[in-house]
Amino acid sequence: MIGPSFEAVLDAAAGGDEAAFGSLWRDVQPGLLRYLDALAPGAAEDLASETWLRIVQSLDRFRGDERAFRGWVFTVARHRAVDRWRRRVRRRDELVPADALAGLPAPDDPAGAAVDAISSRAAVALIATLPPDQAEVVLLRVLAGLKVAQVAAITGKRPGNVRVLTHRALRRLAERLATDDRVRGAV
Amino acid sequence: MGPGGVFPAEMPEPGRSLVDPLDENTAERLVAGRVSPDDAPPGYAGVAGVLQAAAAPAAPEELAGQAAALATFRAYGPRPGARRRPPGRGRPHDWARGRPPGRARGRLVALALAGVVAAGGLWTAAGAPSPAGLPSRAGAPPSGGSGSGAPGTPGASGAPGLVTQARPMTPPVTAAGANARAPARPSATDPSTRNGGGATASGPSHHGAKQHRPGKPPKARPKSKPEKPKPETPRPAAEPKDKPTPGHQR
Repeated sequence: MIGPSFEAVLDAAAGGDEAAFGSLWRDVQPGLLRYLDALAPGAAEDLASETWLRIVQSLDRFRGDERAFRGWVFTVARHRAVDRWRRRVRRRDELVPADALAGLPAPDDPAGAAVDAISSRAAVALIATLPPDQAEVVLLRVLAGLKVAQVAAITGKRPGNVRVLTHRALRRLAERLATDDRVRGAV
Repeated sequence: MGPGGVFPAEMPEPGRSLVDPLDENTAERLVAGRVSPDDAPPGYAGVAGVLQAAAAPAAPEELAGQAAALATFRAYGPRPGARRRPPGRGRPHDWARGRPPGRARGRLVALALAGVVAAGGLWTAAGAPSPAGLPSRAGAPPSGGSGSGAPGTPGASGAPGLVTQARPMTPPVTAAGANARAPARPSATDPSTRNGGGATASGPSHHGAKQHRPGKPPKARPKSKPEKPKPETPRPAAEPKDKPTPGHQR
């Protein structure tokens, strides 16, 4: 998060300041990529580019604080991902999700054993194995840093529903980590 | 395999859980990444680690696209020193200069209706004298009456009046309606009506088209609008139809 200086940075970016836009981009892009990677594996880069194009075109009309800005970016990204998913379904040329756990190293994997902390990619892949609505709620909260109400607005759910989904997701994650050797080994 | 031929992992949770449920506050802190694995409640250390890892700082490869993003910003972003536009729907930038959508749409509907009336009027005007004075009257109105050049061509090709006249007249009306709806959003329609006080070059063709009142249209239009007979009303309607086109091309 950029913090208190966000408003000044946004103003500068909206006025065409490239450096200011760069700092906005650097702040949001990692979480955006991870989120899109969970939503549309293999297309995150493309979707992120489409998202930023849209953001750039309307940047000078945006009003709001940093959280609102992140909410806007992730909303645009989500729409792009949904559009892509619809196109794919129409064409039926791709069977959806690959094994999301494929990114996790096996317990006996020497490379995996060498890593003492789970990578962000593997962590997102693990979250993505949750039921889709639970995964999305957790990803939006964790990666975008959004509040319950914002996540509710983006996903079209009620705030109470978002809270319930978050609780279920956390518990399910905890259970998986407790029981699944493969996952435990990765963590 | 559990009862009912279901794998245990797929069975609904029977009420027992391997981990304790979280309270609201702890769940919030976990999701916000404020709970380290060491401080996590029993059973949630792994979850805390996963969530923290998911929100970890950017890896270099995740920022590799910065140059492309900046290029996009240069190409499509606001110009340096540009003012911020007011927030709003769709294309506020365009609408800020134009009239409100409701009025613009109403105007376009009125134009379309006037066009239909004009077509009907010309149809009847041409239809009445069909036995006798056809060639002279029938050829003229299409070229000027609707305000578009296209109808003139078929009018010239076919000497007999009814068919050649009616056919060319109808499409311009519908086409005007279609054109008018599509560009209704950009403000080009409004400037065109602002400019369109009747000073454009469509005047002469009107004079050629209408034989009964050659000199009047420019002056008498605003005053005698309600009093004039039917063939007059389409004239003011026909003019704005032309004008959006130059407006759009700009």
